[in-house]
Amino acid sequence: MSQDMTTNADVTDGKTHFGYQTVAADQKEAMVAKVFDSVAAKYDIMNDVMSLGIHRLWKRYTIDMAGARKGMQVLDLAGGTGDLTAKFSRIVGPTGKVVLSDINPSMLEVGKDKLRDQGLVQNIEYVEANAEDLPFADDQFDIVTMAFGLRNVTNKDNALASIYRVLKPGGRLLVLEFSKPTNPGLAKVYDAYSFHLLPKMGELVANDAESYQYLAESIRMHPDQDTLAQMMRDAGFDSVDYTNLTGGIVALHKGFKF
Amino acid sequence: MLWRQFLAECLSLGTNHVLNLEPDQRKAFASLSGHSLQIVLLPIEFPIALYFSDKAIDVQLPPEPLVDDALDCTVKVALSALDKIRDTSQLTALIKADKLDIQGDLGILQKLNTAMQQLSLNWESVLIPVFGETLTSQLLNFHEARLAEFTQHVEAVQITLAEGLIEEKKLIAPAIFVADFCDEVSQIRIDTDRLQARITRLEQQRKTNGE
Repeated sequence: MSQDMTTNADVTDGKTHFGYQTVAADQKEAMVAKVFDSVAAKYDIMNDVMSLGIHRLWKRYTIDMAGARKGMQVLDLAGGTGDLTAKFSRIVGPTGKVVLSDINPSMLEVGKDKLRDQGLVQNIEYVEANAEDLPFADDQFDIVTMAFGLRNVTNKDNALASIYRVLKPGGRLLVLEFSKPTNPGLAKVYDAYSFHLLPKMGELVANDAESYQYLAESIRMHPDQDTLAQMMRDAGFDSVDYTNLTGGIVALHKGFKF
Repeated sequence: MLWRQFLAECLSLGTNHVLNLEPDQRKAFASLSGHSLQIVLLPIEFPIALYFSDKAIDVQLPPEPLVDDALDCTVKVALSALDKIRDTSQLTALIKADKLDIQGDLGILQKLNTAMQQLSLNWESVLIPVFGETLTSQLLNFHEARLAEFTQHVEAVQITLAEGLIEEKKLIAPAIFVADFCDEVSQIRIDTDRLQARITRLEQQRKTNGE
């Protein structure tokens, strides 16, 4: 099976992809939810194991590029277990607000518990929401971040349009997501790791090889760097650019609403 | 390219690990909860941003200094004056000497100073859980021995430099001698020029007489 099936046509004739499978578009949300219900409890541990802890550096880089300051309103979309929310909460301080939003209640619950354990309660709001149809007012947020979430969205164009709507003029969107390695040698090693080692690690640590097989496949189906940049421009974002991290395994896309 | 983030993560993990070893150390920072402080090291303009909450201190190393109003307090300090800002009585002198600039709430810096002064780290209790008693004891002994050697070396260098300066100073000619010497050199140059001119004139006379 080809492992480079990048496309930006999310939904065609009512069909979409779920990893390498083609499924009815209205079923994908439930199927993704099942995956994340399954991995929620061990999501943080698996992130550390799978990325050798490098995901922490990718997220720190995202924070550094976000330009957050005290008093700002931040939306951490598909925020899962709240890694970015924790840092934003300290940066925006008591006069600002961070909304941790995820479509999956299991992930949101794990994030809520984790942040409470860290003593972060006063400026964080939790909202269960679909990125394609955000339940927020227009022009509400200074910053929207989406880390490792966009590839699981059924219709990415809808999600980008929804994000654009809730951003204030002058606000910025940062999308941290797996992407396409720029070095062919690294790409081969990365493929071998994703399709052979990753599911085995998922089985060992989380007793769930299937979910991690889906994660590897969904990464390959996600648009590459230039395609995603163009999708952001099409949604109305200006000054769109991206930075490859760790040889393009991950890319941080940034765009502004002016 | 992620070295800043790596360093920041290590600093955050290390700081919070040490503070969590003893509850009293954490309490020392309680008054800073909800506040933020940026220290910019001059002249290299290296920013260190600290975000305080009830249970953790987050260290960030942004690629460039954050604007002053992004945090509660921004302290720009010369590297040479870094150890002096712990003494609040010296702050005015440092500001006047252009080695320190504070924007925002000065109280944050004072609270951090107070918290740092209350810290009393027992390195044995920090290292034993990681390395075990034997290795910790050897590490601390090694560190003490090297520190003593280093201190001794620095003192020796200081003495040598001080003696050198005193002895060399004796050999340095006073300014008046140097000025006299310059005058003498100028006089010799003038005399030489005059002699040269005389020789040239005599040669011309000889050529004229010979013709």
